[in-house]
This record gives sequence, structure tokens and C-alpha cells, in this order.
Amino acid sequence: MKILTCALALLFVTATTANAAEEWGLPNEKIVRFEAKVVDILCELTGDCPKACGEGKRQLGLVNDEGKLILPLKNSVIFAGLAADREFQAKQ
Amino acid sequence: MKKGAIFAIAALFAAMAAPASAAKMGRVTLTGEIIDSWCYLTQIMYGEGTAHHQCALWCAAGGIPVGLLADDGKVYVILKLGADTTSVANPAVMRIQTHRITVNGDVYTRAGINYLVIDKVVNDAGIVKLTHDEYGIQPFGK
Repeated sequence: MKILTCALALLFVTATTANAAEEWGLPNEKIVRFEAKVVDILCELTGDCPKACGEGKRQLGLVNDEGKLILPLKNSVIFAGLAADREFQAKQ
Repeated sequence: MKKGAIFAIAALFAAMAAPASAAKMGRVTLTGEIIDSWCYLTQIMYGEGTAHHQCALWCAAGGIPVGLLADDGKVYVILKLGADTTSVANPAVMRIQTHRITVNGDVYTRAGINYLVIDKVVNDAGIVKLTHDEYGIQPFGK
């Protein structure tokens, strides 16, 4: 599995994806799918940008096509955050 | 890239606000409790005080964002603590998990989320919110 790099971590979502995201069972939970770029949040906000987005030591965010910064709280694969530049399905 | 691989991400904040540029709110002094953002914001379990301390440590160790639940009722996601710019499973942050602290720092707000860049912890009162008698030890029971 490729480790993500910030600049290249475009997350592709296609209609061919057959799997479904797991549901957390939370009140008002809604599954959403979107494309986004993975960013180092501290870099995005302050301009403090170490190599490779902090090499796994910084919280990562998603910037969607509208420029909205989304904070992922939890990932069902590796417990938290974002890890790979690959397709995903998200919950909102 | 392997198509079909799916990550399930709880992006609970996503719909909270329209897209916007980051706004630096300036220097602040905030007091509140260090919390686990996942359990507190999803309300998947009681997420404050001693009832949730053990779980909060595990969540922080796993990389879930740690926040400050300030006395103003807002959650500030911690991105930096002192000179340390790491925020994933940071031992320095985990050492103050559940503590009531006062910090100096800068707040950035983007898409409705507050992010906190802490320069200094000016007071650490330790764990003061004793909730385990009422709520048990979350999520494992007493």
C-alpha cells in the first residue's frame, strides 16, 4: 500500500466502487462520497509545512473541490486519520 | 491505485459550514478540559472527565484528534503544543489528557471548525472532573 504524500494524495471516487462504507450507527449519520486532496492541517492553516506532511505525526485533513477543509475524526481501517491515496467512501 | 478499496471516515464536521478561507482569530487564552474529539463530538459515549479518561488515552494513542473543550463550550482541535508541531499520538498531549488546563495560543477557524495552536500551557490543574461514579468507566463499564 502506498503511503500518502500530501501533494499527490488525490482521493478518487468512482461509480465503479462496489463496496459500501461501514456505518458507525451514530445519530444523524449520513454516508457521503467526494473527491478531496489530503493536506497537513497545520501546514494548510499556518504555512508550517515539513516534508511529507510531518511523516505521519500530524493531523491530516481533506480539502474538497469547493475548497472546504474537512476534519476526519476516525478511520475504520487504521483507527484514525487518513493513510492512503486511494478511493474511499466517507460518512458525514 | 486499487479501485474498490474503501476507507470509512467519519467526517462529522463536513457539513457544518460553507467553504471558507482560514481565519486567524488571534491570540487567545483558553481554559478547559482536554478531550477525545471522536467520543465527545459523536456522543457515542460519555466523553468527559474520569469516566472517559482511559478511552481518551487509547483514542489519542490511535491518532484521533485531541481537542480542548473550553469554558466557552467550543471544541478547539489541538494542532501544536509548544515547540512540538506533531499532533498524532503525541506523548506530551497524552500526558495532559482529561486535564483542566489554561493555554496561550492562536486560534484558526475554517469551515466552522476551530483549530488551536498552543504556545504554552500556563496552568495545569490535573484531572478535576470526577465523572466515573456517575457514568462508570467508558466504554468498558465499572
